[in-house]
Amino acid sequence: MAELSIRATPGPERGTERQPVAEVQDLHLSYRAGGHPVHAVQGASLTVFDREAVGLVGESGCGKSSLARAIIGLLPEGRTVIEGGRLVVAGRDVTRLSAGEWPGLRGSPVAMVFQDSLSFLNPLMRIGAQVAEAVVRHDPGADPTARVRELIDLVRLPAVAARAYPYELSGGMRQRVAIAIALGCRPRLLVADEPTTALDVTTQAEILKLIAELQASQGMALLLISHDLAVVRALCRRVYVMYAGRTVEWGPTGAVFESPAHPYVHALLGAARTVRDDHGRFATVEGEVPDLRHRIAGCPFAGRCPRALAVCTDRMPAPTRVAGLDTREVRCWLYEPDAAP
Amino acid sequence: MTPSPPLLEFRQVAKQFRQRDDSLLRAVSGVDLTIDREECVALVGESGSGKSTLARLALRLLQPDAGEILYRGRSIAGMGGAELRDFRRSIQPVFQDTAATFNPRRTVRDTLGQALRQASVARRDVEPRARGLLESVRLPATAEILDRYPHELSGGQRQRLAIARAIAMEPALIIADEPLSGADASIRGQILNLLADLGQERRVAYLFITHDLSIARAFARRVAVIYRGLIVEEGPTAEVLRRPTHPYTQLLLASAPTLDGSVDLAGITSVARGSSAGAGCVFWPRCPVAVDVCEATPPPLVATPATGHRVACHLAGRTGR
Repeated sequence: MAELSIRATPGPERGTERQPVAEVQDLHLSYRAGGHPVHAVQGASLTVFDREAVGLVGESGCGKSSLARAIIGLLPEGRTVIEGGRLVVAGRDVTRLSAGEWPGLRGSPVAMVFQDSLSFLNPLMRIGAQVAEAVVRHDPGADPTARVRELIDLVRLPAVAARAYPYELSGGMRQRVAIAIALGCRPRLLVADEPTTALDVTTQAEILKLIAELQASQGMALLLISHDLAVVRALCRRVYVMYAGRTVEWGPTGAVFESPAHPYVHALLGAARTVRDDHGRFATVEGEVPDLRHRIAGCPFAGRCPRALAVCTDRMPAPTRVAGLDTREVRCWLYEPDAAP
Repeated sequence: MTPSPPLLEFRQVAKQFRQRDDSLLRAVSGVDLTIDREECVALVGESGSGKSTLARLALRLLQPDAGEILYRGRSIAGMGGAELRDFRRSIQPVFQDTAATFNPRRTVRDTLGQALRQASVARRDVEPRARGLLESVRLPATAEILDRYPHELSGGQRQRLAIARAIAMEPALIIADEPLSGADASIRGQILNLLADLGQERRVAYLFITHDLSIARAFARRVAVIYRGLIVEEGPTAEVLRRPTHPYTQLLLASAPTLDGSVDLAGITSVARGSSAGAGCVFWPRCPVAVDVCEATPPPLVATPATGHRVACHLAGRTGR
């Protein structure tokens, strides 16, 4: 699987041997919540190579944040059961890593930026001190004072911002601080979970521009998680689409968005375009997302899928290349040559 | 060209708030805007633009400091008694955070029942009417749904319930404040279809408040762009989006990422000339094309007669723009 992805991925720097910085192979995990376990991730695979920008999209509850948190070891302890699959971060198998071992991997090689930077930042500490914390911990060779100044400048904040408290900054500026803290760790991979969702359109554009520039200039990989397909289109060369805990289609972002193969991805893109059809209707995805408290034997989209086959409710197919689109993989019986119609 | 007055009209409406440090925040300053019967107007702006203050003024939840708001030609500030009750029924809000607008201890049946009784529906008619409302918003009209509490509904279902509660009053105008913010793409289409249908079936007008120009494009015939309490551009949606004239509208359009990847992030120029606009144009501190006059003099909102497109920019109409 990972081998297929390597060949399938067009590299930003051709000729360079690129290493995967994070690999998720057929991950299955559940949360124990009250009496009902929630089967949040049930077959998700994803590979991020060094220095590439990858998007992970899907609607609320599809498991994209669970997948992101698995990569950085932030799943709720004691309530999370990893049921199967493998997680490899920077070449190390972290599937069964204990909570005590994770801090060694957090920040570097993998740092994370969240949607809500106000609750991420310490309200009682000045910005400069919070950035310095990351530098002291993860970049011991650096001169903290000089490095903090450099980081503040790198995220295009005025130098005086270092003296400010989080509440004195706008949402966009706080998100810049969160990025500065992440960069202070010198990560190989930056995981950004809905980093611009709470921001205004013009501020969002500035933050996206900043992330794109830093990803290139700092030579780090980016995993951008968003419900907003257009945001991922702006930043990421490759995209994975999740539905009900499964990655269902992945490939180059432009190609996936222009000619989606999986019926769910097709429907999602139609809805995301927010344009009226010939009858003045907006496209929707009919039906409801399945309840993840129950195990689903077949494809979770089968119940809503206009093209479902008999086999779809029985079993979920393995990832397949789409004929004629050899950079694309999809988990859908329609692309299985052996599936009887 | 109707002789009758517009459904809702803002005339030079201004509202300021005293902040904690005793300074005054001009949330809305001198807004002129009309909404006709059965018309859908989108009000587009970012956080802090005053768009939600404008909504609360229209609902008479706030009193303006200056100017007036007319409903069918009558000032809403002077209304009382039966006229005020009629006004309160005729203009209904639908807010973004539907979880916060429902009493968590009331079931769907009680929520709709209360709205219907306020609309003077006879007690014995309440239950069938509540079921009718659920059908109108494409929710199953079953006892199972009627017995649910708000937290037992999905986000999309709760947004439908909010719409059902609004139409229970048979309003002439629905003020929808970011009703789709936070909604997934698949739900967005459902809600937009529903609002469009209700607009036709029930002849409801909309003031659709959003930060998303693509939703304004899809839904509203007319759009007003608001920045720091002032309408900077207003006109037929197609016209405004095809030929955005105000630099702020242009920035908004350029900033919105698109599915075809056409947005050019590198091309976005940000300017910062300090935070206060002072005496001149409200957009001057961020405007990439400002000239001297912009700093000192506020531009008036001037109409282009041919298109009905209004713009508040000193540079509008100059060659090359």
